[in-house]
Amino acid sequence: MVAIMVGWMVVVAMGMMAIMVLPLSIRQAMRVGMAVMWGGALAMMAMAIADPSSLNSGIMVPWSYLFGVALEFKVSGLSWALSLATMVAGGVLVGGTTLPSRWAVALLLWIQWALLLVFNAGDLLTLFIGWEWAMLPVYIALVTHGTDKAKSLALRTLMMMVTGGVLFLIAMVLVWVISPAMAPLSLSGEATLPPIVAWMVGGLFLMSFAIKTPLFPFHTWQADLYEQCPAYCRPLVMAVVSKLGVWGVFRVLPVVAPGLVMGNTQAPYLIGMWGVSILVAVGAMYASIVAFAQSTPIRALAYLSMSHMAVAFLGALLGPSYGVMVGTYLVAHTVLVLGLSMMIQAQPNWNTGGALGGMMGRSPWRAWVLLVLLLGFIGLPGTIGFAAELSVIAAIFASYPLVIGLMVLFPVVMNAWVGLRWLTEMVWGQPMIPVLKDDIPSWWRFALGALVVVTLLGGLFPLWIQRWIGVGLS
Amino acid sequence: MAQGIGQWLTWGMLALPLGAALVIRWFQTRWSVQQAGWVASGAIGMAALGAIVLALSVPTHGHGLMVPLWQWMSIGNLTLSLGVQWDALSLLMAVMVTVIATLITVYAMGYMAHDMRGTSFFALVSFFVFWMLALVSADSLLGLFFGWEGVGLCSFLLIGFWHDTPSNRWAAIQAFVVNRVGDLGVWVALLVPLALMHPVGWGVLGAQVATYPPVLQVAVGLGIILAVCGKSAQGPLYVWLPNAMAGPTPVSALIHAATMVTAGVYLLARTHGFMPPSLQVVVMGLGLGTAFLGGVLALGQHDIKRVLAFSTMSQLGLMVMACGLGAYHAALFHMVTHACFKALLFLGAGSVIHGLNGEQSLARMGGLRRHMPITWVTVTIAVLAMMGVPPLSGFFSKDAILLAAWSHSVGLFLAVIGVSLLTACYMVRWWWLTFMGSPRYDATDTPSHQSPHESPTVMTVPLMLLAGLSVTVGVINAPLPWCPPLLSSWLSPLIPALDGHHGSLAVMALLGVGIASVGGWVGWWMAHRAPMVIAGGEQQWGLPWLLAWVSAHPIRWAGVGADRWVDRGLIKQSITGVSWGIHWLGNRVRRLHTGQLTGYLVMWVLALIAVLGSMVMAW
Repeated sequence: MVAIMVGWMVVVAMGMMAIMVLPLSIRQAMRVGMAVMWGGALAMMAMAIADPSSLNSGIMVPWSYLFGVALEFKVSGLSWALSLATMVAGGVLVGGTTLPSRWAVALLLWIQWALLLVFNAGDLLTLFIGWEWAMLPVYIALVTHGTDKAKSLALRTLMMMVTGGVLFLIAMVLVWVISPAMAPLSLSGEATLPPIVAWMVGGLFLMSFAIKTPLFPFHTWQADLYEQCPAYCRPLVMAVVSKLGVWGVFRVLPVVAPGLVMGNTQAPYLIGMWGVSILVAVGAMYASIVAFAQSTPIRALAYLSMSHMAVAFLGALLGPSYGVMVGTYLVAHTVLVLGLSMMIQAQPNWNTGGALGGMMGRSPWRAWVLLVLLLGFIGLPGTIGFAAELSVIAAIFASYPLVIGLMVLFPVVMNAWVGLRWLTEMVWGQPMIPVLKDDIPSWWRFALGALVVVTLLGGLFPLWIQRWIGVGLS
Repeated sequence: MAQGIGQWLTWGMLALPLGAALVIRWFQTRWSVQQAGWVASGAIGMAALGAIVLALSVPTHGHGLMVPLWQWMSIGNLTLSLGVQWDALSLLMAVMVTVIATLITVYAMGYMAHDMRGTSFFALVSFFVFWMLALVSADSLLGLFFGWEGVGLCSFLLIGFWHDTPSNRWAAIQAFVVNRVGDLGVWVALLVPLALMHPVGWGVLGAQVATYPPVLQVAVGLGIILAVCGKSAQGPLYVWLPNAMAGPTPVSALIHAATMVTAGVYLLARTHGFMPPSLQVVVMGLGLGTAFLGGVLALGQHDIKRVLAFSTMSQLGLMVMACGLGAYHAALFHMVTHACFKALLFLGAGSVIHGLNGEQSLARMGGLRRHMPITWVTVTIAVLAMMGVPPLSGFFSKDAILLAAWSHSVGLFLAVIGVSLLTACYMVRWWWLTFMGSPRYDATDTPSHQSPHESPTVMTVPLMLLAGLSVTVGVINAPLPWCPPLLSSWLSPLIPALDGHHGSLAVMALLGVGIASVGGWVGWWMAHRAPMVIAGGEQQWGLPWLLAWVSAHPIRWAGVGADRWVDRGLIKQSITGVSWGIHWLGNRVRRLHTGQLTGYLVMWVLALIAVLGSMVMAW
């Protein structure tokens, strides 16, 4: 049922994008967009609650008989959770942001369509289609609704994405051409590629995922993107699109190159994978240090997110046996970054370097929401962030050399340092901002309240989340 | 006690402070400070009552009363649960925390009466008590970590309570971040067993750690030591504690003197079986070094609260040292007595600050005994207790530590005597500069100094009660002929007592008086001859500056440098370089497209020759 629902959502999202071309007013476009996103989210929740076992399901949609390829949807609890986050984030953004035109709704639907494809792909081709299409609307949004700086950034971002996409494409074609026994491009089971090809393909995929995540040294575009992205899609990009790289590792690597999964790796490749792991861990430390030097809270959040995603990357390299633990981390990070990005961009002066202080005096409820979300982000026990951090770092401690485990603990301190610095800048002190109205729309208030509840309940009862997202995972 | 009643009491003890915090927060704008204060002190007082009832009824042998709460999370095949364990150690802590917190909350109703944010203060204090109870009652290292971080959060919020001042905000961040460095130790101690898929409950953890390879045992042990350093301000991680005095004085008394900072000592006692012998020596050295350092730094301070902060650091060092010796009973005994007289000292300091309308410098005090008689008498009792003058409580607890040191070596015994001399010295200097001599609060200095006055009853009653405790609480473990050491016999089933010397009470009393007299005389001399001229003392002789230069500053510079030279420099310029390279190449290639057919024909022929040539060569 859930897989059929996902497939249906993909079709509806595409159809709605087409409708946007028709001369709708912006208000009509918003209503249509919200109906699709919230309707889809509610339907996905209802179906999963009615029949949780349907979270582990799949459907095949014939696509090209010429190559014998079908588009395959494979749903698991984790992909369901990430799809739900995509739909909810889109619904909140359509309902709560000042949209510059009806095209903005179309672009949001476009991103969602692509993300649904990625998170629910049952084969490499479906994943690749979503992978490539996900960033194009972001590029268009930057060009059409961004500043001059955003336009030059857009090209840089696109070039990085295309580079990653080309690597993905080469690797996929290699799998397709060489794999003798595997059903074409399916993401089930394990491919039986000759070892040297598997290593080559795995390396290409890893490079592609590293660019998308992004990992050091491919990362410099991300903070600029988060800063320059138009407000209506920034939280979605920060919270959900940033998960694509880790999702790729999690979903693709164990299938096409199981020998690269830590634990399966044999000498002499083990040394290479340790090298990769150390590089990723160094990247996590590096990003958390550079976060300290950032001039706006969004840029700081971008670097801290890079650090988090590097840790998640290490967890994803462990393969499906740690799927639930990495999944918990991805879901928690999505929830927290979505809330934080919404809160920060609702604050005047957030990107101008102007004074930020006094939120506690002007709007205490905002201050407390920001505090809870930030405490979750820095991994305070009692929040979902801690449960996620503990689970993934425990997995890393269990499977990597001790030194890598200790390296990924370093960002735990840096996160607190950078996070609290910005928190105090924004929340405490004399109110610097002349006017800070409670002008957050009701949709956003509702969403922020829900995110706070998830942050706290998820921290107190993470087992419940794990059981939910663990359906269909090892 | 029946399990059911125990469960109800447990839920009640945890729910009352948490509920009070939420209710006060909810009614923050509608309630007065007094109303909020009554709700907070009522809820915490009820929790104290519950703790006392449990302490009197829960059997101390075995694991005590176990109250499972819920299954929390799974890590691989291991399911982690949260629960409460009431045994002698956790109940000792719970009683101490809630009783002291009740008195301090009542006191704060007077101290915070005119503060605009007074109601939210009581919400935060109640929240702190909830987390502190969660910390001490946890049945596992995981549960302890919840409380550990929770009290850290409350400490951050309360240090930054007057957040209009930038230095207070900075102090709050510093406290949290330095504690986070210490928390890495708990992470390591927690992650090593979890990575091996072992449960982390107190009942099984010690036995498991004993079976680990030495390197993992050392990792767990070092993790615990690092955690203790952070929370109990030991070694180089002490820097946050003096700056934490930026918070309201009741917070300094409750969190940064009597309760939260003792969590490190509690952790050492709780994990007494984990520590390899080689690391016990490290613990001992760390504690002794910190005790000395704190004592010396206290001598150079001019702020009435900062002297007490360094004194706390020094006394915590003594407790940690005793743990390193294996004298856990002595450490815990001193923790209890110290909680009473140090809370009293801080509250007394708060009373002075209140009476002088915010003045905190010892340089502008003196002669206050005439204006603040109750504060003076109660604080004098606390000073004497802290100096170890018999028969006050501090005498008995310090006596126990001295005997433990004597059991180890004469050198260590002399070192502890040195720390005690320092204690007497800085305490008498502090006391004299505050209350004795002639007034230095020049009436023409500021108008607020014209009328020092005694604090209201709501503040002086807790002072008197704490003074009573400072006198009598030593009875719980005093080696008196007519009264057996109750605390030791209570703790013994859980933590074995150290077989050590039991010195003659008369000799120890003489020693205590001697130390207090000599140290006190030096302190008096310093107050007279060199009251404010210890050059560099206020800046701790550059120690925090040095620590910042080897820790925080390099990280900050690395961040700025990496951002400027690597991210914006090397990487971005490389990308720009590649783009320029392609642009340049495109321009060069474009020149070949001249539009003249002869040129194209020549290129076509050359290409054909090249292809054919390569085929011929291959053939």
